[in-house]
Amino acid sequence: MGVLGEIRATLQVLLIFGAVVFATSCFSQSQGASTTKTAESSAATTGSLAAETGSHGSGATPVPPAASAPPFFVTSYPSALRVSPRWLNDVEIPCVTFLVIGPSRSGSVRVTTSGLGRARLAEAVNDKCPLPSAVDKEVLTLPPAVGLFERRIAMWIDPGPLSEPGAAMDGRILVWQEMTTPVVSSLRVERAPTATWFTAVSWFLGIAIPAGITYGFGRLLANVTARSKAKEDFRTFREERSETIGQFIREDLFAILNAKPPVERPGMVILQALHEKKLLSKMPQREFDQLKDACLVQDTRKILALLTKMLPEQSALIDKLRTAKSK
Amino acid sequence: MNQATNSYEILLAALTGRQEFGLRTNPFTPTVVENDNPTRFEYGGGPLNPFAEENRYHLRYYFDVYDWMDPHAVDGLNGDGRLRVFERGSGQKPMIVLISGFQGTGRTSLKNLLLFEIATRSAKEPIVTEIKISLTTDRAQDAQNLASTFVKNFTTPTNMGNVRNALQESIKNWRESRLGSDPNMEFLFQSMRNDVEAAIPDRPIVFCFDATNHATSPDAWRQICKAVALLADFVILFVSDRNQANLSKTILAQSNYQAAWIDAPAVDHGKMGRFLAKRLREERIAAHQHAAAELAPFHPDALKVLFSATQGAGQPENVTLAISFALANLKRAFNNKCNELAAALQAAGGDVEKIDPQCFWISEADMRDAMKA
Repeated sequence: MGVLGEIRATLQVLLIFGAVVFATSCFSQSQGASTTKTAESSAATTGSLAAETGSHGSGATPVPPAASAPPFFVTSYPSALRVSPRWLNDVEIPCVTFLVIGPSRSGSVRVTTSGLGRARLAEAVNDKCPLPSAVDKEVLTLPPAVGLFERRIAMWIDPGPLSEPGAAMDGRILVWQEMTTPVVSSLRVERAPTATWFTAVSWFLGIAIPAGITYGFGRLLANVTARSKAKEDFRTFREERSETIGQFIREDLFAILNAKPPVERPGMVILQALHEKKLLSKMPQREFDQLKDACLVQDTRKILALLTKMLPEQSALIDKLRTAKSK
Repeated sequence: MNQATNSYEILLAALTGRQEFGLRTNPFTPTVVENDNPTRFEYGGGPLNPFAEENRYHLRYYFDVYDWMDPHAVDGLNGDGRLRVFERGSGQKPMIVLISGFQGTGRTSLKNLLLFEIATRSAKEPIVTEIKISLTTDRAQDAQNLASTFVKNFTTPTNMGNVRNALQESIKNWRESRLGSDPNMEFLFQSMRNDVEAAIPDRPIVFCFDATNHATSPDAWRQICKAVALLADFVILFVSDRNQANLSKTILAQSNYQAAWIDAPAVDHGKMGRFLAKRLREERIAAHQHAAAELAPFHPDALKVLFSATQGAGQPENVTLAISFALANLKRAFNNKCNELAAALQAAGGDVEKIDPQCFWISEADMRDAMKA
């Protein structure tokens, strides 16, 4: 190859390089980049495209970003979402759908969130949220569309950060394509404060339960004290009436258990004898009820056992009676 | 004898030919000849009382309706109305006889029989004090009342006056010697015993208590009985409740008293039938003794009517009645039948054969009519 050949090769390289530079600059202009800015409104939020095209290669002049419409719109969703508690600290898992609309582009579109915990995304099914179990992507990749790009996206909010009543998340929905600035849309998710009735009930229980416990303890203490006093009074009574009690056991009780023919309704006769000898007046209520019940059913064995327990000073004498009766 | 009762004998004499009515006298108001004196006994006219000398013949009218719970001490009636067994054991302590039963069951008749037995067996007239127990809250006052009642026995004859003075002196000493709230009844009655024995030894002293008042606790009258037992040889005690009699007897026996219990229950159909058969047999003339039905002129169904349960739920199958009530109805039925037959006889011109044979029976309807009166 001579000199002409070398000149021809050099011109071919330059030509190719120039074409590449030209093509790259044209592509950058058509994409555009948007700067992120939060705007609260109920209308569609649009992002601005801030195109930033890099110039590569010598001699290429960077193409300034065109002041054009953003590539995507995120629309058809509320700017604020209120989550109601189901029961106490349990909250429903909220789901919201929104529409991503944009011109036809090559390349896939990605959607994700920021500031909304581990929100999960999926394409809506029949414009509705699919089952949460079917949704597990935190970054959703949507294939390009022929014609207008329009996709309804379902987003399951992460309830974790909403554990406290009144908690809120100020989050973002981000939509972008390769080498473009994401379109950012804001979304506020808040948990309703505790229902008034629940607060009222909580207050009431907060007062009633301690009051009830206090009352219960007080009552228990009073019962224990009263019972202790009743037992002490009965012990004193037994000492003062020891002779009468002994006479009752030696005479009345012995006769009732050993009479021939046997006494009819011995339980009631025993109760009557105790009453006539005025031996029931100081008996503690629980013991009296047990004794009365045993007397009503004529259970002499139980009556003797109760009397042995109540009259420990006379237990030897009562044991003799029990032995004599069993013979 | 009055005219009305005479008329029964006249009628019965006219009916001696009839098996059903071959009776010597009205079995419920029999005529008895005692010491050549005809006298009439009337069932339901009061308790049997052979203890009164003029009523010795009452013995033949006793019928054993009683339950003798301690037959080793007191048992049964012989055919002549005497007790088969009446043993007071040796020793100082008296015999206490408890008689249980409600009014109209023959308690008083039994008490009178016991008094008769005491008098007969000891061959001495007993000193009997009868008291309806009505206790106060003050045992000393109760003791005073008992002692005063006992002293009233000693008003006649002359030697009793000395005993009375001695007893009153003992009561006075007792009152003055009492300390605090202790009634000290034992001292009082022991002193009185000594006074009586010193003046009139060997005469049995008998106390008869009526403790059927439910307001008086058994504890109280048991205590009184034990105290009075220091003075008495015999204590006869009426109680209405079987259980109380049983218990009291057991308690007294435990304290080494000789205690016996006799129950005077209500009678059932069987027992009343046996009584009626015995009564009719005793008054039936010899000619009809074997031919007549046992209960004639009472139809057996008439007795069933007397003991049938009244209409209504919950009536016991085995109906029992106080013997006085049963006797009163049987007597009324018999007397009504006599009146009816007297009228029929008069209408028949004195010819017994003209009277319908069915008329000689006391039927169910006759008994119902008698019960309605």
